[in-house]
Amino acid sequence: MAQLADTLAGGAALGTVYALLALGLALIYGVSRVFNFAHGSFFTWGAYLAYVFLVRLGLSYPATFAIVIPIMFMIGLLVERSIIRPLRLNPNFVFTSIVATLGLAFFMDYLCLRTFGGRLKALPQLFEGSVRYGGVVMSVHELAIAVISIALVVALAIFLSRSRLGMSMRALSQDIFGASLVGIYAGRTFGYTFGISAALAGLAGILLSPLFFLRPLGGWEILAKSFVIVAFGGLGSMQGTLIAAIILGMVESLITGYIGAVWSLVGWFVILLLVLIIRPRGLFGVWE
Amino acid sequence: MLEVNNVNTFYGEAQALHDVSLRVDKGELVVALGANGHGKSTLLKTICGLITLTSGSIASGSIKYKGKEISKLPPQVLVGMGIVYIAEDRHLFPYMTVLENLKLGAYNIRARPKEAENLEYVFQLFPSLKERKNQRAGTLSGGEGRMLAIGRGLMSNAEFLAIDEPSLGLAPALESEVFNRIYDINKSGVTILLVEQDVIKALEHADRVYLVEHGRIVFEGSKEEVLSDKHVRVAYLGI
Amino acid sequence: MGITTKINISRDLRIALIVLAILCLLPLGLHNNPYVMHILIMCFIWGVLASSWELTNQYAGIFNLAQTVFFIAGAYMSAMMALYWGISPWLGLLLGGIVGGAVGIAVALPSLRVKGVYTALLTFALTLIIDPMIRRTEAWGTGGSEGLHAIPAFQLGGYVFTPLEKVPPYYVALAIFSIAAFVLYKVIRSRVGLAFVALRDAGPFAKSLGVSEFRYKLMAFGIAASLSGVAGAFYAHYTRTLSPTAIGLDVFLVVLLMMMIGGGRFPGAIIAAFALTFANEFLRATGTLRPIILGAVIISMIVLRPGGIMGIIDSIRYSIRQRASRAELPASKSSPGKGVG
Repeated sequence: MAQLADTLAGGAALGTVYALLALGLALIYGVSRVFNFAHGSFFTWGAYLAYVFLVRLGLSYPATFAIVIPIMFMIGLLVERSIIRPLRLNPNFVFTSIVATLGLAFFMDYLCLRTFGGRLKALPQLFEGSVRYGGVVMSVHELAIAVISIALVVALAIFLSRSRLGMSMRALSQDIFGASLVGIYAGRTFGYTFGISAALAGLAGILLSPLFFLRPLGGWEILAKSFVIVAFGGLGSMQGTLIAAIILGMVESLITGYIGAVWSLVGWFVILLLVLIIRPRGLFGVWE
Repeated sequence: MLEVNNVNTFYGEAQALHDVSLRVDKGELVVALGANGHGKSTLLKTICGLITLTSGSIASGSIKYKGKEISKLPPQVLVGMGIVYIAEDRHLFPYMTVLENLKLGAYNIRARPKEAENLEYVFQLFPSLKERKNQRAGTLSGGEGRMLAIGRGLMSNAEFLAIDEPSLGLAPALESEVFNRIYDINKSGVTILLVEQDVIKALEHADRVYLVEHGRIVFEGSKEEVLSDKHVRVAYLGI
Repeated sequence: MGITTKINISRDLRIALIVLAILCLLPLGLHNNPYVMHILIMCFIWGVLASSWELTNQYAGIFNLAQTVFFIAGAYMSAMMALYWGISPWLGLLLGGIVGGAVGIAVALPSLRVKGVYTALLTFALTLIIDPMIRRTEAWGTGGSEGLHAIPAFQLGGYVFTPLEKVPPYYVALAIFSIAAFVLYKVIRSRVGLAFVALRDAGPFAKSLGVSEFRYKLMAFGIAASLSGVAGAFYAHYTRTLSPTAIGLDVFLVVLLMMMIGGGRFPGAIIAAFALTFANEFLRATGTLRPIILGAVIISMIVLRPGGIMGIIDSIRYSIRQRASRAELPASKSSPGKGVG
């Protein structure tokens, strides 16, 4: 029984980081109607960049965060400007953006493979040791990432509801034409959205890599999981995404702990199928 | 203040506006009348830089605002200059509250310092909006939505309002209220170009009138001139 | 419209026959060059896969990212049937087609019910999950990560196809390729094809005329998946080994590129298949740089030349025509502009 509680706690912590990933994906799709197939690659790049600064160069974690996150933001911005923006002129935007981000994902993944080799790498934990509370044992790292993730989710929520940029992002997701009417520059905002999403994905990569090994091609699983969470929680609801992420994180931990790690991906796929068949709108879906 | 000279607008190969010229002087309330599909909306959208957003293009002609050429400028810049378009479809942000919609109206830099002041004015003008300030815009009724759209436009510190069919879908009593508010706004110094199908209500406070038919201006004159010309009245206005 | 179609059909037929003749005669000159023969055989296989993918995605407008799954299904089914039940590879080709088609319909049913992006995601998820699934089902005879080896080769009478003699498999592949190309051409030129164009260009109007979008899309899926399954079966008995790494995301990426570079119109994908198969061989020397270059090419092509190969061919034809008309009428102005459009 105690082991069950531990597993669930770890799963919930995992889920909070998954929430960041899912929110990043949902943000790009909601605001700029792009499904970023390279989302998992941003996750991987964030982790590998951290590896360079943390392990190869020996910097501290705070310094690493301070360097890598802005770099990821810039990369996201650059990708949007150079690859996505030119595609908007094409009437087949939905399809061409999918293929472009797919190509980008392969490009980024294999660049990682070539630069770092295929062997699994490990990032050190944020903190060592474990903590016990009310009979539940968790590693301090797990606790730390949960705290960081929840704080970021809250910060994101405040950003979206109060700040001008955040409100303009919400406006674009609700009525693009209306947004132009009030003077919002859609192009710029799309760029910032992509940057934020890339930064979130990169951060998630740094937080999760000490738990799982770092592989250049691991991004596809991350993309798949992010999508399942968004579908399960429902597009357009931040709380929905957070709750869905935590639930699915716990489910994954349960499957990994009691059935076998190899079946976790299958589990995600089954959940996706169930959601699309039973309730395509997701638990708390507001639109689509 | 606004000068439109020989403008031709196309949607792909189809020409929507043929050699259109008009002007609106500062402080005027000018009305463009015409039946559906004859280009009234296109005219406003062309002026407000929204044509490329709707897959159209301006082939030739010039549009000058306060002497400056604006036909090639994007809508966001025009909003910054004080030119605001109020869509007949309103295009509100449905999941945001009335207050948030209004706040977003003040998005552009010029409008930000005046936000509180403008909000005050909008609530004074439309008390029902003030009552509903925390209600989701998507749940508003037709009339309230129309008022919110106008209010949001005012928040952009508009000097020139281009209003597209304000009476569309409204009950007569509401229509009167909306037109009265529009007139109040005009009296407070905002120049207005309004397109409408409902002739009578629109003519009530108009300074000058243009008639639009098949994308062409077929008549220009003051309100009295329009009403006194029998031919125009019968052929175009049906009164 | 009717007259131009007729003229085009006979012109297309002429071009097709000429190309077919050339392809039939090639072995006469190349039979001492098994390497090039092998590349050509692969061109035929990928050509079938890429052009059937072109049918679903470019013509029927479906965001399908699972085409390689049908190929794999046909390949594994035929291989396993031959290995464990002694079924002849020739029958295997037919089986591959049936299985491919069945899987295609099974995938189409849920995928077509959801909206565009979701279709892409669902089908892509399938593509992603095939690899781990094959690896974990060793017990069911799929060979797991090791793969299947010594898959029975084709036999004609007493003669068994050997890996050294490329001429017989070349003609089999050419036959499959020609039949597939013919089928696809027929579908595109038929009422079904017209329905797709109508649905794509004037959706609501076409539907109001009773064009059943779902039924036609399902048909497209079925046909394309069957053809891919046949190609897969042939691949299995030709290369005689199958493994999840050999036909994994790598293949997906290359064939996707072929489909995209084609430019959306038949036979763009086929031309792209030939071009890319040869290019891929040259790039093989670069090792891990290859997917990076492919990824970069995908991005560049789609951003810079969304019209693809057919788009390039069109602009070449257009400028030739321009030059010809200018030569005829030197005094006339060029065609009147359409305004600022």
